[in-house]
Amino acid sequence: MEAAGRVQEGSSTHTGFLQILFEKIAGIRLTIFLCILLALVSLIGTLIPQKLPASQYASSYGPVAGRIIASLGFSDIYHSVGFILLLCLLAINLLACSLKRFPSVWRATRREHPVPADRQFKSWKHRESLVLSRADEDLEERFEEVVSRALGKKPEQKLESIEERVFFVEKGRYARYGPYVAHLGILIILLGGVVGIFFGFKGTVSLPEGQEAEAAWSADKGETIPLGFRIRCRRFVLLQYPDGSPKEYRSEVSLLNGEGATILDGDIRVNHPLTYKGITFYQSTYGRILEASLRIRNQESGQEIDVTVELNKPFPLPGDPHVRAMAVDFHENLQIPAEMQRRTFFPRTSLGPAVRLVTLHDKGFGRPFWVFKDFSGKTQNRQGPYHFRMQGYRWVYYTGLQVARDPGTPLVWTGCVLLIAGFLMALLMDHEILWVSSRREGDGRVVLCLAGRTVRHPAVYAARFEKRRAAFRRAVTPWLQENECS
Amino acid sequence: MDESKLVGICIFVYLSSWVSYLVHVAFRKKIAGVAGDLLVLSGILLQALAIGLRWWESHRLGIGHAPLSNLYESMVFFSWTTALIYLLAARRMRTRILGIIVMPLVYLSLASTSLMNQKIQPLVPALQSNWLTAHVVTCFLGYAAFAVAFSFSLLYLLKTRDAGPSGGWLQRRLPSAEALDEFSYRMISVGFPLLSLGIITGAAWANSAWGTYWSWDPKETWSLIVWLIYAAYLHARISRGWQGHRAAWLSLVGFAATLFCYLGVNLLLSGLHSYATG
Repeated sequence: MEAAGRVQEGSSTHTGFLQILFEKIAGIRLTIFLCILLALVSLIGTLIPQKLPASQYASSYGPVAGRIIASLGFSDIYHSVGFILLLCLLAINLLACSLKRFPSVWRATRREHPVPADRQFKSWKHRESLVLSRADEDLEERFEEVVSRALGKKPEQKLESIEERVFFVEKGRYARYGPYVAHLGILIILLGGVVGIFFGFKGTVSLPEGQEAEAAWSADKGETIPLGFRIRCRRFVLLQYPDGSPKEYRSEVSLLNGEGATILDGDIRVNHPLTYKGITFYQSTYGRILEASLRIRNQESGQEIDVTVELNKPFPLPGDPHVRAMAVDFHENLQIPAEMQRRTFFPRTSLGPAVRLVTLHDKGFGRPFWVFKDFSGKTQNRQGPYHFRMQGYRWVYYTGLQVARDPGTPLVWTGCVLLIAGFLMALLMDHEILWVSSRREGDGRVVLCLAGRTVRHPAVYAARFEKRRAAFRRAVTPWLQENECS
Repeated sequence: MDESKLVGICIFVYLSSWVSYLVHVAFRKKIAGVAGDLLVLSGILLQALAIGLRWWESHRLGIGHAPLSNLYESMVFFSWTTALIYLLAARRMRTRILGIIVMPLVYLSLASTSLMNQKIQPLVPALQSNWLTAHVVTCFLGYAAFAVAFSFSLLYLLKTRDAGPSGGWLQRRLPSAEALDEFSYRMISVGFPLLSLGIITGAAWANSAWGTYWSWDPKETWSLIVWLIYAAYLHARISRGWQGHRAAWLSLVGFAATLFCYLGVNLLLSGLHSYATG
């Protein structure tokens, strides 16, 4: 017996501690505290540039601050342990708060409303009383309909006898569910975010016109993600406004299966993405690549080749297999200062298309030199035994697509809808109780009474009850011959 | 009569309304209060005309779009929505005293537009979306509600201050502290859902333009900061110890954050939202 007593004692203090803990976790103070803390942490993330390499923080803020930033996770603060912990705490707080308060709200809305003892509602703050000099059969028959029209809802008859009838109307019962619906919405949004992070991906695909890709590149994860199909950029179109700013750019793409057959053709424009098998392609950016065609002659061996060169891509030179060259710069119209033009043999300062080349061999780089399309002569367009001639150039556009799969998105939108619904319920609706009674007095008069009350916003209710009162009076007017206010 | 002339008139009209309200409060002249209301109303109507004119003008230039796409247009819209929400709130809550705090906000924001680039510019592809109108309108209606709530909260703090030798005369003219607190709460109850809708429509737009509904961009993050502060405010109302005084301060901080979210982010930080600096 004693042992059992001791166990009981132990468990009651145990329960006491849990009780206190639950109260704290479900408390509004914690909600306020967490909201403010989350706001502060988010603020820090907007002041410290995010996702930069560690060395950059050290150089911008000094070595000590740089180390603090790295160790606290401020370089990627929104994915840091602290931030995620705060979000989890908020979710737990929301859940606990709802679990604590919802049962009583549920019971309150399902509560039976017994007919008041005083059917003239004399103790009610908001009431109205109309007296008819005699009973009217027509009104008696249609009273329920009259009440329904006046109050905007079909009433429930709670009492019926020869002398009196009592009706009950309850409006906006679900208004009190509003905050809980909104909180549920927030929890679902957070869940959708988590699902997106774990089961989705984000990446980029750069496609020059005519090329195709099988995988997207994820900068976050530092790896390629296979798409399961191929995407080819057939054409890239850029339209500009007269002032040069972009008006529209779109990629005309084809999706191909493993064998190369076209699954579908489509356009991707900004704000008009393309989705296939849960993967969505967004028009993000574009650029252009230079292609210059060069004719190169090796004076010693007499060999001549035609090459198409791109910037920063080494290409071979005729003759010696150990030597290559690379284009490092390009100008559509190279400008030189006037003094330089005087010192050299150029006839003008605008020199037209020019590409800057550099030779590469085992020991390193040679000196860079320019190759001009519009000039040739003894000192230009040559390096060692090699003579260069630029025959032409063109720009090849490439499209930059953003690729993403986010299975959490439907959850997030559902949560958003619930959030807004919760607001509408909490702020536009109000839980209102209305009673209507009709009583035949001994002297033949009929007394009609209306009373109402509301759960929240008692200060505002006076105005709303005025509307009810007026509507009730209007509805009964056809039968009203005299009235008394009491 | 072109749009910028109309805006110039509106600036003057709003300034006059503020002066009227000051006279109304200081000398208790009812007619000055009525004049203030009428001036605000005419300002709202003239501005509506100016906004419509700009919209029509953009179509005439062949680059038709709702005038909500850069700093100038958004600031004009902000002053308009604030004036509108102010008038509605002042009528509903039957208080003219609010005008002495809100109208300077309206006047200054509209006056600042004379320093901005007012040219009608074509929309870059990312802005060519139906979400633009929904997102900007809901956000700015929310900002306007917060501006009015800020004014109520400021008046609340003035009312509940210890009455010094000069503080007494204003306090006597103010409504009760409970009423000011209640009005502030009602404005935030309107502004908070609007801001939430603004954030949601912004996320939907980001999803179709950039492939992700949330990328912790400074503008997005700051809108979340504003949201969190006002969420704290709404919960402060039902938490002992946080009611009244502390809640009023949350409302002030919230509006400061709102202003930073609207202007500070574009002008001081950088990110995907750099359109609005035009």
